[in-house]
Order: sequence, then C-alpha cells, then structure tokens
Amino acid sequence: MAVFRRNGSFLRFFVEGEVPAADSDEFLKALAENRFRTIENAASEEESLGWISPGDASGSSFLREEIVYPGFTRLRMRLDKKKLPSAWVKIYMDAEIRAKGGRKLSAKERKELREDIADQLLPRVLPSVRLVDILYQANKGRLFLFATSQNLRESVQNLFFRTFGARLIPATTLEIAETLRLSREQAKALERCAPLELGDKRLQRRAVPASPAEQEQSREASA
Amino acid sequence: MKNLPEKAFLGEEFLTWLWYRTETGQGEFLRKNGSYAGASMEDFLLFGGDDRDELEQTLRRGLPSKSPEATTALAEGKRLARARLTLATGEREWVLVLDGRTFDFLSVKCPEEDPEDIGDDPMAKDLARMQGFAELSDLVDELFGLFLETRLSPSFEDKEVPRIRAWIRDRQKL
Repeated sequence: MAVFRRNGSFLRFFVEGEVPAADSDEFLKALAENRFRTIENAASEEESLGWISPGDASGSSFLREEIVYPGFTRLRMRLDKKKLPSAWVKIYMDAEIRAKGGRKLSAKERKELREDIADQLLPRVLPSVRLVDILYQANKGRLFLFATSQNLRESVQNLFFRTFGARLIPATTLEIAETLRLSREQAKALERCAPLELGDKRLQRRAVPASPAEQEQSREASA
Repeated sequence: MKNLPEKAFLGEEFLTWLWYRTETGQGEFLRKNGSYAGASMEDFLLFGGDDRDELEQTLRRGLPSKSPEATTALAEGKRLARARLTLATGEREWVLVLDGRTFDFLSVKCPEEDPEDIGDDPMAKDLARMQGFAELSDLVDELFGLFLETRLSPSFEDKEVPRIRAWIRDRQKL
C-alpha cells in the first residue's frame, strides 16, 4: 500500500450528522455498499464514482487495517469517466464517408453513423481515472479532501451523504468562526462586520497630478 | 465565476493582518497550549478587489511582499486573496498557499518526519504525515481565531485599523 502523502493541496469540510465508528463493521459495510464499480468494458459514455481501499484500487476489498489509524480514517475515492475521443470519431466518420463514395450524408444518416461508431469504439476506450485521498478525523468532526476542483468537491459531498447520510459542510471563514466559541458580543460583531477599507484610493488619484488643461477644465466646471 | 462564501472577506483580511503583523515585528503568536507559533510571508501574493470580477494581480518570486507593486496594491485597497506562508511552531514548519476567500490549503508542504520517531514502520510514517496535515489545520484555525478576537473587539476600528493604515503609509515612503 502506498505511503500517505506528505505534500499536496486540500480542502476541509465539517461533518454534519452521525457517522458510524470507523472501526465498526457498519462503517466498512457502508463503504462496500458504495464501492467503486468498474466501467472499463462499458459501451456507453458514463462515469463511476465510489470508494476504494487505499491498498486496492478495484473497490473489491476494504481492510480495516488499511483504513483505521489512531485518530484518523484513511479513505480513498475513485472517479472514472469514459468519454469517446472526438478526434477518433471524426477519423472513423471520414473513413466511412469515403468508403461510401464521399456522398454528403443527411443529418439522420450522420447521426446513425456516429452511433454505430460509438458502439464500435466505446468498449475499447479506457476511462480516465482519478484517485482522491480523503482523511477523516471523527473526533474533530472534520474531513480533508486532497483535491481542489469543484467537480470533486461536489462528488465527495454526494458520495459521503449517500454512504453515511451525513453532510459535508465546506470549512469557510464563517464555519470556522462558529467552532471558535465566540462570546455573544463577538458573535454580534461578526454578524455586523463589513469589509474593511484599508487602502486610500485618493492616494492613487493624487499620484498622477492633473495636467494644466485638466486643471483649467476642472476650474471651469466648478465655476 | 463561482459565488464566494458569506464573510469570505474575513479570510482576505486575515492574510493582510498576518502580513502586517510579520512586517511590524509581531509575527510571533502565543498559542492556547502556551507554545509560540511564527508566521512569515513567502514568494507568492495574489491581490483581488472588492468585486470578484475586478482584475487580479499576482506577484511571485523574489520578495513580492517587499515590492513597490505590493505597496501600491495595498494602498489602492486591493485585497490579499492568496498568499504563500511559512508557519512554524517548535521545530515544525509548514509552507502553504492559503486562499483567503475559501480557506483552501494549496501546495502544502508538511515537515519531514523524524526517522527516530517512526523507525521502519510504514503505518507510523502514515500517521505522522496525517498528523502533519491536522496540526497545520489546527494552527491556521488558531491564528484565524486570534485574528477574529482582534477584528471583532470594540477597539478594532479605533486602534488596530489606524496602525494597519500607518503600516501601509510607511511602506509608501520607502
């Protein structure tokens, strides 16, 4: 099994709702029920999202000793996407049209031809694979997602909810502030506070002195 | 352009406050456990405006936090949307780019594990690395908590804001 990363980018979430203890059978069962299922031989454009074990990317086994660490739960999500490469479709389309004498095809004929080519090619196309590390700290009710794209952010939120019925709330400034046990006065001040204006935009205007003509125009305007 | 979270500006102000603190000899912070944490600005700054559609300005390499461009951006009221920081506590040191608007942790480098602590045990190595991320997360939240204590105090506008503005003005004189 690969050693856990030391570097990388991550997003944080707070977990809202009950999640079974990571070392329980219930937890492993929930992972297995929402495991990754391969689309390697699928004959259509589709995607598959599910849990895998850190030591087995197939999604067929979940070993407690690979997942449960003191204070942490090490999870891994796999997202495969199968998409027909448009360049290959064009190459096959052109070849078919040439074979039919180069005659211009009607829209219906083109659609049918494209579908035939897709049926022919898709089982041979390998899906793209994303393996995403996730670290869950149950005692702090938080989760680290080692990916930053909006798509993966939403994918993990959906998968986690589907698996455990718990919601992942992005750890924004306001959510973090709520964990800091603010006093009533501080909470009120937080609610009221508006962005600070630290710069002095007038300084910028002063930095470029008005030309004599502009000064003259300004005097005329004010008069 | 995606919507920003509510009060996202607080994260940008937090970054600016850290910058101000580190440049005015206040880059050391007393932690709840009695230890100290240090912060310093590194070679990447990204400025944005009040409006998300406003032009962004990136300064990188060299010493961008000392540059006249950075001073101009501050003086024009641009917000520090992202910055590369070094954070340290005890012997441990992290480098990261913190996104002030979303609080995303980008390009994080955690401290090396001490081989004496982990030996040849791969699980101990994993655990040390996981702890590295969790410690960083705690540290950033604690520093943000210190910022919020200042930011939400009744004297903030009268005392801290004039000092920050004076720091910006002083930079312009250099």
